[in-house]
Amino acid sequence: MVRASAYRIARLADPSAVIGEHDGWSRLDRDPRATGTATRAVACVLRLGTRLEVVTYSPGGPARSSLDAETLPGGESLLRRALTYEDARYTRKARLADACRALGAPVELLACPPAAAPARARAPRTAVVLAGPEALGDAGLTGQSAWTVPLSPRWCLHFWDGAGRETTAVTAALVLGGRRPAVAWWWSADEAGFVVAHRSKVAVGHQWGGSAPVTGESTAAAGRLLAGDFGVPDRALAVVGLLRRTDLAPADALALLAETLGLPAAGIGRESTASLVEWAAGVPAAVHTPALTGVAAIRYACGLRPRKSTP
Amino acid sequence: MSTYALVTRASAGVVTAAVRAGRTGGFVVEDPLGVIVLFDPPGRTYASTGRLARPARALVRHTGAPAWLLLCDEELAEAVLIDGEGEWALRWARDWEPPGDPARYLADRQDWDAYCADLADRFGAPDRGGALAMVRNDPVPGERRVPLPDLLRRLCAVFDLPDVAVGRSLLDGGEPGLHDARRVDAEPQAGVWHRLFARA
Repeated sequence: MVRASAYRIARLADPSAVIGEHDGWSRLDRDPRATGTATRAVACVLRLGTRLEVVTYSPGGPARSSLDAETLPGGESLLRRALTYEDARYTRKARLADACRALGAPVELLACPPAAAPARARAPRTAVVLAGPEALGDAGLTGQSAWTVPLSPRWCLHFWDGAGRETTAVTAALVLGGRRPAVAWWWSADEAGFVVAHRSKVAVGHQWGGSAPVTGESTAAAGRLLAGDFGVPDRALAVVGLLRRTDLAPADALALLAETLGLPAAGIGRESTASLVEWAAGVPAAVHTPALTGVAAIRYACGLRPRKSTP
Repeated sequence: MSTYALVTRASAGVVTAAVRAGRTGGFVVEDPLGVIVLFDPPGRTYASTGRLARPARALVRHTGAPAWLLLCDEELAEAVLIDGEGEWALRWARDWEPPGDPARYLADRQDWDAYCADLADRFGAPDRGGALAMVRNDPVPGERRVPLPDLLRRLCAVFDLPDVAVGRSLLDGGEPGLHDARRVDAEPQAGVWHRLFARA
């Protein structure tokens, strides 16, 4: 065992030696001296045959064994007991656990818990907001450099153009949601979802993939609201059923939802930010707004008339 | 085991000079993955995050390089990014329960993702924002909840920083518990006021 995480061993030594990890310690499948030296960490060996053998290594220091092994302050007597005490009721596991405690190594490593996977970045995400036509004028208030594309007399599609800092889709939906609802949609290889904002308040949401607390009640509420907001109340049951499906890839489920709701934006669930930007640049009525904050955004929103511009 | 440590990519020489120039001494460790500083505990029994961060702020001012201050006890883990513009904290509570409403959860999660992206950008590693956002301790059915120190270790791994700093603190005792830790004391401040207070 060595007092170094699997991450540290992977960066400084041979990661293939790690067979378990707990609380910053790792269990190795080989003598830990070299790993301890490379990671500049204390290491120890526990061998239990007919007798318990203990060896400790300090980085750059000599190996110490048996009763001379390096323990925590005050751990000497516990180590002595683990090494010498003879009693049939003193099981092998208890002896090893006591030795671990004396050395300061976590006893959990005896059970060899698997090494924790490093934090993995999630897949690139595309996010858009469907909002009422007021979004053409209010887009500057979202604070991001974005395109707003009219899809129909009732709906506009608003999305970040990839320049500068992105405003989260939910925040953009809360800004753009006024008398009409606004819906934030997002999708990636791992997850896809939406949140509906009514009068600048979050109403319902759902996500395929990820760890959102989706329940039967939440899908029923989200399905009914979506069907109502998009003018297809007769498809509410189909929408609820779709929200509860787990057999589809998240982005495919979202694309199917967009079709079920009769949305004119066929790109939902399928396009990337770059392809959406390319598409918007070719739509005559699309409006591009730069990233604005504070008073500049308000002035822009008050004075803006929908017009075509380029980023 | 508590954690009260600072990790930075500034060079050991610059960090040592910064500790010496500050008001709080401590141990400086030159690790292959970065530099660790264990500050001496503040004089009072109770120390807020603001008080604990004071020597870290002074150090960052001196080095000019952003640094993470890692704090952890049994209830709360905290990683505070300190740079020339201010400080930004990430906090994880042991018994954290996310909102039960999916809409609220998803909105909060997007805010968290954006905040993490901003912090990664400030630290000079904008490509690590996504990985940082995954350092969370949401309960997952059937899985053990991530222990608080492991969250700080994951954060260190995201930014290629020395995670051996986690679990190290001078709040519980005077031993740094790290290999090659060098004691660095703050040099006495010059000036009339400091001499006057020192005499008092």
